[in-house]
Formats: sequence, C-alpha cells, structure tokens
Amino acid sequence: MRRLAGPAETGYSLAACVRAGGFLVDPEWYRDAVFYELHVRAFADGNADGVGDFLGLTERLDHLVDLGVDCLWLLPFYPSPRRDDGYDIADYCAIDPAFGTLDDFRLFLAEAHARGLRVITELVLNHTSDQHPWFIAARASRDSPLRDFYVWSDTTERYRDARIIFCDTEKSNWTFDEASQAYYWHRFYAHQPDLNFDNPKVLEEIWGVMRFWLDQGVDGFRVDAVPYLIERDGTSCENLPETHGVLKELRRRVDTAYPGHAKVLLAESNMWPEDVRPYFGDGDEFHMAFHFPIMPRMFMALRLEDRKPIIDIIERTPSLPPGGQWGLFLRNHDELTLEMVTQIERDYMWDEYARDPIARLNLGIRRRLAPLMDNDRRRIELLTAMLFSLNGSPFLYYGDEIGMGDDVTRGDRNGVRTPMQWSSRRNAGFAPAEVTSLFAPLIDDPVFGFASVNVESQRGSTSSLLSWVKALLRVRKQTHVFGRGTIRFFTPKNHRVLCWLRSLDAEDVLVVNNLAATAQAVELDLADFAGAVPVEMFGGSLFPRIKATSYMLTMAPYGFYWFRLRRI
Amino acid sequence: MGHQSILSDALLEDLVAAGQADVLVGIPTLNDVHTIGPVVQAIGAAFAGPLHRQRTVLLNIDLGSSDGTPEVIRRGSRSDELVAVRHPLRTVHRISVPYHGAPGRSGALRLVLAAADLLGVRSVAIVDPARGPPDPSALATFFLAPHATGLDFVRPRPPRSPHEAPLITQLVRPLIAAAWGRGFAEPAATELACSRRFAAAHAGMDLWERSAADEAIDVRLSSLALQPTWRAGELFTTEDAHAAHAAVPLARAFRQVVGATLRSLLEDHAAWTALSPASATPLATLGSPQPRTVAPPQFPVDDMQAAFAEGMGTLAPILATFLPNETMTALGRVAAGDAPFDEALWATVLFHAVAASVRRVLPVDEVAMALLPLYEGRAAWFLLATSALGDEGASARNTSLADAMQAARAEYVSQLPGQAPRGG
Amino acid sequence: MGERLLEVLSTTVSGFIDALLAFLPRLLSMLVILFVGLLAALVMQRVVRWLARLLRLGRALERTGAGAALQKVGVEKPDALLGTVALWLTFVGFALLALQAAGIGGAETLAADLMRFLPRLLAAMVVVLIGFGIANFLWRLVLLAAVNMRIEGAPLLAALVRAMVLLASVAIGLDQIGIGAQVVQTGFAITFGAVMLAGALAFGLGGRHVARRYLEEKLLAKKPRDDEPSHL
Repeated sequence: MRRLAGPAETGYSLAACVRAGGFLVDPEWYRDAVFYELHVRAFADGNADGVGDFLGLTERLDHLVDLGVDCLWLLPFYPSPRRDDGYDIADYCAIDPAFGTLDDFRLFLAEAHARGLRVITELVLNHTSDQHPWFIAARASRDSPLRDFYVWSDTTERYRDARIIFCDTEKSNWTFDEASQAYYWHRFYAHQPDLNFDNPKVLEEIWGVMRFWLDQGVDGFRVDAVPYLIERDGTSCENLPETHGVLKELRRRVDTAYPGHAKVLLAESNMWPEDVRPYFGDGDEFHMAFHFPIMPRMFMALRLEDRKPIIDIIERTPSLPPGGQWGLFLRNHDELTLEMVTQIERDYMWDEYARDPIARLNLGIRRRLAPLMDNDRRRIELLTAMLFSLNGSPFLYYGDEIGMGDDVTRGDRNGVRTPMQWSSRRNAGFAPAEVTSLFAPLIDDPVFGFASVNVESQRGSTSSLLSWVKALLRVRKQTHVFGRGTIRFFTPKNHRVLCWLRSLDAEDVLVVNNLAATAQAVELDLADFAGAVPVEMFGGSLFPRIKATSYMLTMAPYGFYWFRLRRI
Repeated sequence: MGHQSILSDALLEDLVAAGQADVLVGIPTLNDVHTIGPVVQAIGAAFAGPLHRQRTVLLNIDLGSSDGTPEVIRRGSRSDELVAVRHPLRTVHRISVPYHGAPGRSGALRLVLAAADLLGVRSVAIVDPARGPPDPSALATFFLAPHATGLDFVRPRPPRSPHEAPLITQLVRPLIAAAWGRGFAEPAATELACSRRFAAAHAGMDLWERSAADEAIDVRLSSLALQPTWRAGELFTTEDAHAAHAAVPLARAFRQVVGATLRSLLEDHAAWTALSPASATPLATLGSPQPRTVAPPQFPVDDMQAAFAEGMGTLAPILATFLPNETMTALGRVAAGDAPFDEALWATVLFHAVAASVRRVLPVDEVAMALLPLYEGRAAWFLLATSALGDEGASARNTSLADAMQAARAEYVSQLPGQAPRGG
Repeated sequence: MGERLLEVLSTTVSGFIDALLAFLPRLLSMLVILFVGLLAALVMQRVVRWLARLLRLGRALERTGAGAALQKVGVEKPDALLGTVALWLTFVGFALLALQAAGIGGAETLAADLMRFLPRLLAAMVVVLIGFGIANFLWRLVLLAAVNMRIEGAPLLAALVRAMVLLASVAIGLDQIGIGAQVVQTGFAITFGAVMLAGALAFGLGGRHVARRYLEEKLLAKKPRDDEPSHL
C-alpha cells in the first residue's frame, strides 16, 4: 500500500469558519469546491451580437447552480488584441466591450454570489500585450519612464538557457524592437512582452490591478504562467527564488488587505509536482496549484489499461502544507499538454489519442474530453469519477458536462473554445443573432453537433451525461472526505484496477476503478477495515461485510465503485 | 469426477492479475542460475524497449532448481551490477511458479502454452534459459514474430555452416522435412514462438501425457507445426542458442534426438503419410541469413568411421531385423571401404528405421541406438566428401540428400498397406 | 470232428461277436468322443486365436521380443501358435476321455495325472517364454548400449547376459515341472556365480578404462569435453 501524504488532515468544522461581511466564510472553501472553467465569450450571448457576454452569462447562472458547481473560473475578459485568446491583455482594469461593461460584470458577480457561486478571474502577471499602454510607452524611447517595466537587451545572448515554450511558432525568446532598436524578452508569443518584476514599480502596479478586482468582489485569481516572472543569467529562468519572493509578497498583501474573505490564489505552473510544490511555500504563497502531470497519465492509464502511470506520478507527488490543495482537471481551454511526460509516453499518447497529426499542437493534443474518449459514456464517466475522487479540487471545463465535441481543423486551440450548446434551436441557443455574426461557428457534426448534444435535451433526460454529472457532484458533496481527506493507494495484484482510500477523521471512502474495457476480478486486502460494511455511495447498496481475508470484487468494463466503509 | 487442472491456484491468481496480454514469454528453468541473469535482463529490456506498447508477461516455470534460479527471475537481476529495467509505461508482470508435475521440459512447456491460451496472447515464446546472452531488440523481433507476421509457429534459425551439426543436417532435418514436405533448419531447437491458436490447440493434447514425449518435445512440436494446418516459418537470427548445449555426449544426444524424431514420425504417421509433399506450403522466412563467424569444428572422422565398421559387425543381427538383405550388403560394402555412403543408401536406411519404429519391430529407442554407428559412417563420409568442397558443395550434397529422402519416402509410403503408389 | 471244429469256431466267432457286440458301444462312444473332441478342439483353436487377436497378445509378445524370437524358430504368428496349443490340449483331453470310455485300463489315472500336471506345465511354459523374451530384450539392449558407448567385447557381454537369463528361466521352468529340482538349482547357482565373478573381474580389472569412461559419461555427462565437437 502506498500513502500519499496529502494536506495535513484538517477536519471541517463550523468553528473553522470565519464570519466575514455577515456570511460564514470557510477559509478553506476551495478544498471542497468544484470549479467550472468558462469563456465569457463562448458561454452565452445576452445582447444578440453573436459574442458571449456577462449579460448572457448572468442569465445562465441557474444552469451552473443546477449542475452543482461552487466556483466559476473566468478566462480573460479584458480588452485585448485577442492574439492569444485574451491572455495578451491591453488593459488590466477594464472589460472588453464585446463582453459588456464593468456594470454588467458587477451585476453578474452579485447574481453569482447571491446564488452561492464564487468567481475567480485570470491574473496574467508575466506579460502584457504589446498593445498595452505600458509597452507602447516603454518601446517609444529608451528613456521612457516605463522602459524598465519590460526586459530589454541589446543582444540575444542573455538568458540563453531558457527554453522556448511555444516551440511551434517562436524561434527565440528575444524579439527585436525596431522602434527602440533593442530586443525585448518574451517567454510566450512575441506579442506578449514579459513584465520586469525586478522593477518594484511593476509589482506595485500589479498589486493595484489585484486590488481593483478584489474590491469588485472576485474571490481570487488563477495566476497565469507563474514560474517565469524573474530572469537570471545561467538559469532556466524558471522557478527562481526571486519569483517566489514576488509571489509571497502578493499573497501577504492579499491576506493583509482582505482578512477573513478567504480570497484564493491558484497557480498555473505546468511543471513536475516536486517543482510545483515550492509555489505553496509554507502555506504563505499559493492556496492551490494545478497538478499538470497527473492529467495526461489518467488518459494514458485508461488506454494502457494499467494503473502504473497514475501510481508513478502519485509516488513523486510531495505533500502539501496545511491549507494547500491541488487543482485537478481532465481538459481545459488549452491543449492536453504532454510536456510533463517522457518521449515514449508522448509518442504513445499521440498515437492513441491523436493519430491525425492535425489534432496535435505544440507538445499536446487539442481535443475535448468526449472526442478523446470516442464519445464512450463509460470511459467519460470513469475518468470524471476518478477526477472527482482523487485528492484535489476538480475543475470542469465548460461543455464537458454535456459531452461537447470539438473541431481540430480550426486554428490554434479554437476548436475547443466553440459556443456553448444550450439547445437544438437556432445557434444552439447560444445567441439570438444571425448565424454569420457568431464569433465562431458552432459544432454541427452529426455526433457532437448541437442538435444532438445540448443542455436542454440532456436536462430532460435522467440518463443523460448531464444528469449523471449532477448526480456525481451531489455524491461528492455528501462528504468533505474527497476535498480534505488523505489518500492511500492499494496495489492489488490486478494492475487494471486502480484503488484508493480517502480518509478524514473517522470517515473512510474506498474508491475502486476498473481501467479495462473488460470485466475484471480484483482481490483487495482490506484487513484494516475488517468488520466494516461497504455502502455504495451512488445507490446506497450494501455490500458484504469486510473480513480479515481478501475482499473480492468484480468490476464491469470501465466500472467504478465509491464505497463508504461504515463501521456498524 | 472433478477436473484435474494443470494450473495451480497460485499461478491462476497471477494470471488473473496479469490479465489479457499481447506477448507471453515462458522460461522453463532447472538450475540455470549461471546463465539466467542476463537472459531475464535482456527480456526485461525487450519489454521496456521495443515492446513497450505491448502487454507483456514473463512466466518462469521452475522444474525444481536448488540454486535459487526462481529468486533471480523474480528479482530480475542476480546481483547489483544488473540493474532491473523499469518499464516506461506498464506494470511489469514477472511470474515464477514451481512445477509440480512429472519432471521435465514438456510439462513446463505445456503450462506456458496453457497460460498463453488463458491470457489470450498474440504471441507466446519459449526462451532457453541456458542460451547465450541475447540482444533485446532481436529478442523483441522474435517474440513478436507470430503476431507481426500472422504465422502460427516460428523457429529461430541461427547462422550455421553446412559442416556443422551433422546430426541435424544429415538426419533430423532431412528426415522430418521429407516426411512433411517442408522442414525447419533447426527442428530440435529449444526456442520457439507461436500464436495463441497453436498454443490453444496443443495445450490440451494428450501428447503431454506420454512420458516418452518429454525429451522429444522440441522435435515433436516442430513436427506438429509442420502439419499443413499451421502457418510455420523461420526467423534468421545472429545468435546461436545452441552454444550452451554443445556438451552432451554423442550417444545420449543421438538417442534422445533421433528417438524424438522417430517417435514424432510415429505419432503423426497417419498425418504425414496421407499428404503429398509436393503440395506443402514452403516455410516463411523472416529476416535475412546472417554470416557465420565461427569456424566449423573438426570432427574425429577416422574414429567415426571405425565406430561405423565396428558397429556394422557387432550390430548386424539387430540391424538385419529391420534392414533388408540388399541394404545390409550395401552397408557392408561401405564399411569395407568398397563403396560410398551415398544419399540414396542413407535415405533408404532411415526410412527402414521409420518402418521398424512404426511396425514396432523394435522399440523406438533401440532403433535409434542401432542407427548410431550407421550415422557415424554417413556423417564421416559426408564430412570427408565435402571437406574440400566448401559450404556450397556441402549444401549441394544436402540438397541431393533431401531429394533422396523424398524418393525413399515415396517408396516407403507406396509400400504401406492400403496405399496407392505415390509418384515422387 | 467237423462239428467240434465248427462249434469251436462258432463259439469263438460268437464269443468274438459277443465281445465285439459288448465292446462296440464303447468303441462307438470312444469314436464319438474323439470326433466331438476334434470338433471341440477346432472350435477351441478358433476361439483362442480370436481371443488372442482380441487381446493383442501377439503384439504384446512382440514387445517383449519373444515374438521375434518365435519367428526365428518358425512361428510366424504367435496367435496361431496359441490356437494350435489350445487345439492339441483340447484334443488330448478328449482323447483321454475317449480312452476312459473305451474302458482301457490306466486311462483314468493318466487323465487325472495329466489334469494335475497341466497347470504346472503351462506355468513352466509361460516362465520360459517370458525368460526368452527378457533374455532377448536384454541382449539387444546391452549390445546396443555397449556398441553406442564403444565398449570392447560388446557381443560377448550381450551373449553372457542372454545366456544367464535363459539359464535362469529354464531353471525356474524345470523347477515348476518338478524335474530334477535339486540338480537344476545347484547347477544354476554354480554357473551363475561363476559367470558373475568372471564378469565382475573382467569389468573391474580388464575393463578399468571402460568402466571409468562409462561412469564419467553417466555421472559427469554435463561437463564439456573439449575434444568432442557437438553433432547437434
């Protein structure tokens, strides 16, 4: 048996909740929460211009409440040239007019909070758009007072050890600026110059941005591209101690300025877990960070019908400080990244999940969950159930709750950022506008098209994927054990069965997953729980009492069980 | 009556855990601790390297080693210097179980084939634990051969000079090939790879029940695989897995291998005599022949000739029980140095030996023992006649031996009761 | 005189006729029994042959090697031989019955003796037959093994073994029948002992190198011999 020391066991109790603004605020609410990631642009159109906006989103909040999610993560909605889907920000403290006004945003936030939904937004620290007034001023002249907001050099010789992340499009991390006759540093696209965090003024400006949004009422930030804030020669310019210094300072300011509001900071750092671990600090840096490497391994384990990839990555996942939590996801707005796998594993994943090279992008696969699973409900359900029962807070990507499809023929990652499919009516119920005015074409293929895959039809069916996901969320919410419990892996002889135990105080939940497309038998050593009665959590069925001898289970193809082990 | 399973509960439990697999590699062992380490190491490297996409299982059936062989296999390495290879993708299944049946290779092989059937593999291979240090990528090619080529049975074919291994080239190979119309270059090889279909068809056969089948099992499997039902082939290799077996004394090796050959032809007599050799599908060949780098050994030809002459004199009463007078006379002339031991005579002798085995004039082992001096005579003559000819000349001789065998076979079949004479 | 002669003649003739008439039924019954016996013997022969074939007795004999040996002495088919033996045994049994029916003196005792003797005879025959088979089998095996191992004097060794076994089986067979039991046993013991001693001496002293080579091959067979290239 393997034990993954998760966050120190912190039982949930009312006493731990802090009274803030008249509401009970659990300071670790994010550990129980289910997150829902969405594009304002792609979710719902409220003003009939073919582009999603805050009005539309506000109107659709009831769907999210019905689904049972706790927190919305909004992708960038700031003014932007939109050359990197909004991650190239031209103005941090405004709303892109296409999505509405600041008042629309405030209305949305109030409506969401009124429904018990929290909202986190994007904080792009590392870089701005080259259209941002700061950069326009900085490149205007070498003597500009804002020149030091960015990283400049006369040669490309500095920071040569830093890798190029968007290797498909960028040849160098330096781009020559004709106007000021110097190179500027960018870890991503050339139109996204990196901010210079060695300049204390930059930190102050960013803190101003954070205050602006926190004052609007947002519940935290998903902080983009955190490892790359500071550059130093002779290093990879990633995960530097100075970068951690910047982040710790921002966390300190948040905690000081908003005591008791339980604002959350979530790091995006596509790294090995041991490299991500420092971003939690000693509980004084990030509250959460995404666990990137486990995601491709879940897909890989399913295709290999072998739990080894997951066990391997769990074995190299360090424990977190109190209050720390992993963010887990199956799919998001980016490609299914294969950076954190070996070459052999990457080749395997490409061959198995992206045989058509057009589905590949950078070091990943630009597809949604359902097409990756060949639209096989059993596999979609198994992976989702695993996501919801592992040790972390699950993130759902919009549309995956109904099994939406994608279109790999569209450029970049636009194929997985298509309009939400609300109904089979005109424009999938997304926008009361002309079809030609939609910001992007709808998915309309026979399998995944909005006529067959949409919220309205699935809401009416008890056997739909949507109904199943809702049921899954309800079951998860019965207990805090999934969000806060420790996790311990069992290794029965049958490697097709992945089995773990979540424990919190006196509560134990046993999770058994069959990764194989065939029925499997497994014998579990549950001697520690002899005498307990397993109660299946979805249907409440009682299973035979556990004895000191090995416990035999038979598993349907891609089947899974969540058992609450009741000592009665 | 309850069914007596050949699978122990422990093995079954391991097989349940291994589940469906693509490639099963079986190693029957008996006190092979000195050679097994590198072999298991190479198999692990093949699993983790070229075969990393396949679901692989290593199954060791230990026949009662007292030197710790199974422990070495379970650990995957014998000492610290051999670092176990970690599989990049999958869980590694390395099963080692003791075999409790009657001692001998055949029971172990049967278990491997039965396990392959249960696991639904695409390829199952038997690896000789005493073989020389193997190359992982060559091993992988061998393991995958049935799956990759659609063949049911594949024998490795190491490079050999025609002046080597006269027992194979002069007796076992041409006799079996003549019977079935096609034959493996190494019918007595201890390694094989086969399809699940072949494994399933043979795991349950009663051939395993005969105690006599034990030493004969390799030749017998070759013979079974040559039946027209099976798609059989050979894989050219660069290695010589036989190197480790060079030490067996001739008399014993001869009795075992020739006994096995005759017994195989006896067991499958109805099958091979009923088919027309000309219509047999030739064996598939995989890869290309590799050059032989080792010089052929020098045989004590004079001694062999002396043994022939002595044997002819001493064993005449026994030989006469299955060889007709004119053959005896011809042999006598050869022994006296008055005539060559040519292909036609040798082929005739061998098919009379087959007839003696089939008609049970003598027990098969005794027929084999009676043949030893004659073999020494033929082998000595062949080696002398071809020593100056080089490899090509020797190969030509062997081709004409194959033709003579076909003629003798036709003659033999035509004389069987109820057989219409067959052209040939 | 003539009358006297006639009377004598008639008395004799009538006496003879009387005697003949008195014996005729016995003669007839004897002939009938003989005839029936002949039929029964023929039937028996068929039955035994059929049984022998059914039980594959011939093949079993061949396996022991006795079949081949029988062939050498002119018996091509062991089944037929068994049939013939059955035929004659049956016929002799009926013949004894016939003699008894004819009232010929001593026939009863003879029949009883034969009935008592028959099982022993059969047992002796079986013993000798088996001994013959074993002797032949061992002879072949020893000869082949000795030649295979290049042992000098292989035919002599094989012949000795055969002679020993034959001698033993004949001795046991004779013992069964009860002929000269003491003499046979003593004679056998002396011969056997002498032959064994001679063999042991020959093998141990004369054939030291042979013995060593044999033991080496048997016990140390796995060790490579540099001077012998592999034929495999």
